[in-house]
Amino acid sequence: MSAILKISQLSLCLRYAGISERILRGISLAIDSGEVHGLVGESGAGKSILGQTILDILPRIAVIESGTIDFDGQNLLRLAPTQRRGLLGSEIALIPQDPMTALNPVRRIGQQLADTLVLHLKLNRKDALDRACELLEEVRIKHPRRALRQYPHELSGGMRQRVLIAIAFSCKPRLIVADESTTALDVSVQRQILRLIRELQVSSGTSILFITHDLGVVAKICDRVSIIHSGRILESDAVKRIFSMPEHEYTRALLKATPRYDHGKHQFRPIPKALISTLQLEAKEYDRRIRDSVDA
Amino acid sequence: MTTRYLLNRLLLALPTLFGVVTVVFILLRVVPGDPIAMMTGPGATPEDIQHLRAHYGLDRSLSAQFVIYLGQLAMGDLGTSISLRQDVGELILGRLPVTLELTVFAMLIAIGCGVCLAIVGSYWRSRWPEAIIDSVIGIIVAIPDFLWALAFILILGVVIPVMPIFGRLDLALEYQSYTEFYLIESALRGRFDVTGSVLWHMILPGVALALPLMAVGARVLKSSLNVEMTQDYAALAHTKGFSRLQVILKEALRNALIPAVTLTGVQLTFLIGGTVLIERIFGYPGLGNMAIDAVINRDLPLIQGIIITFAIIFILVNFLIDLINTILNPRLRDG
Ligand SMILES: Nc1ncnc2c1ncn2[C@@H]1O[C@H](COP(=O)(O)OP(=O)(O)OP(=O)(O)O)[C@@H](O)[C@H]1O
Ligand SMILES: [Mg+2]
Repeated sequence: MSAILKISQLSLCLRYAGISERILRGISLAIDSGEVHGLVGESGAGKSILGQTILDILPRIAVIESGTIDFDGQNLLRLAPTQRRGLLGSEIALIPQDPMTALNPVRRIGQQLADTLVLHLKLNRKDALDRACELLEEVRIKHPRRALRQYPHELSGGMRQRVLIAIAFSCKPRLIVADESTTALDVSVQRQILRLIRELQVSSGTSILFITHDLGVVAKICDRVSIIHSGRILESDAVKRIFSMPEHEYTRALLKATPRYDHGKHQFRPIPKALISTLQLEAKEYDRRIRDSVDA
Repeated sequence: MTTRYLLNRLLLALPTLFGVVTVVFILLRVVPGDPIAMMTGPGATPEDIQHLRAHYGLDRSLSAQFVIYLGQLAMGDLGTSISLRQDVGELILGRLPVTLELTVFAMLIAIGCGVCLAIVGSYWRSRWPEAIIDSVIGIIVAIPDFLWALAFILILGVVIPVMPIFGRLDLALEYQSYTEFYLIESALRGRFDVTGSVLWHMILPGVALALPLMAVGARVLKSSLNVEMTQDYAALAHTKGFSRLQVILKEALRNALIPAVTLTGVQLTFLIGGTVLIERIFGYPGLGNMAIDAVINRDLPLIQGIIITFAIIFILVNFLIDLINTILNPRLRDG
């Protein structure tokens, strides 16, 4: 299969007053068309920053040092701003983490759904609202007509997440970045939302970069998975292979640290401190090599 | 629901109004200065003075005066002006439209320019346009409206005399108004020469009044826009393919207006209060100008009437601000 998104040697740092901290260290990652690709790592590993780089919503202090992000044969990082905006929402979309804050509190659901339809599909307002209603039906919102006229605070968290999913899929994008899209929901809602995303993904053939720190979620929804730590991809392979024969020591530790319900009794073991400090040393080593090569 | 809430707000204004009426009544009788002595010449006999005191009800006890005064107020009777010897209500109604047109004009300038400045500053966040806007706002905020008025008169009226600095209308223009709303009335009647002249005369006093409100409003709105632009929904809007300007206008602006409207509401009442000095400086025939004459002449009924009118305007403005916030913020509507 051909890769819809191919990231090569992506490095990025954040520049605060004077100091600069490297967050991504030579990330390489390929997402095939039609696959759900998990990105797993602990908090602060750089998962969200990687997603934000693809979506062009990095904080102002972020500086991309090197690397390419090829989407459909063109390097996103070299595109003119208007061209890049043309892809956002239509070819590349986001399912955000927190359904409570990701919708605009003062705009009706219908308006917020219509945005991409008007902008990219050039529908007029009425057609856009009709289409928005269909989209709400597709994500199984009970009274779609009424929901169109409602404000976010009138919907539950699960309903809002469905609206956000409808927005993401509205223009049938080829890639969706889902950043911890189910973390803020309770377990039963989380299961429904995962099933919904998977269903829409299969029927539309969209690829998804599924960011999470939960290997249980990866097992449910992902085809392949990449393990990230300190801004480095440690390994990347089919979910089945990673779960049965993890290569990297950190992946093995992560698996042991994840409670699994399918194996009768499972011992929960925290990730060894020594392993973490080894990984951090390796990251420092990477930074030193970069510095040396720049100085040379 | 919403209408009930707003009605309640209006009803709550009644005690406020009563408080204003009481305080004004007491204050004016405590301050020194005898209005009758002011209106009579040095040749007046004690009988004349006694007669006049009785005529204006000033010979009764304070409490009796207060009760009579409240009774008249309830009937909509504001009494008779001592210095002008006309009905206070009529005097005020004759001047109110002048001041209303000027304040609304100033408010529109302030809101229009303030919102534009805030949007421009937020759009070029951390670049030179924001720095320039910040320093301009800083200067404007530091200078009160009447100093702007004096500066305008000096520069645009005296040094380079391009703008009118006195009155409301070109003296050469003949215009018989029915409502005193010169601007609107003349435009509706097709007398555009009058409309133009009224507008031209309004510019300097209007801008002087508008500047402080504009600066405060722009500062508050820009910082709340900058906060809104870091919210999750703004990031989502970017990923929908909106440009930065679209995100500001379609998503952030309305959210940012909610705190900005509340915080600038106070400044808006300063603008209305500012008309007193500004109208005096520009010889503008409005309520504020009349208020100063009334104070100079110790014209108690007129002063009372004008203060009550201003109080009602303030109460209505606050009510309007509440109303705007309810419209802007859907979360307030179920309350
Ligand atoms: N806007 C920002 N300002 C300053 N630092 C930031 C910002 N965003 C991210 N960082 C820093 O960059 C690093 C990586 O953050 P990132 O959000 O990518 O982590 P993550 O892997 O998504 O973690 P989590 O699982 O907690 O979401 C962290 O050390 C974080 O402190
Ligand atoms: Mg994150």
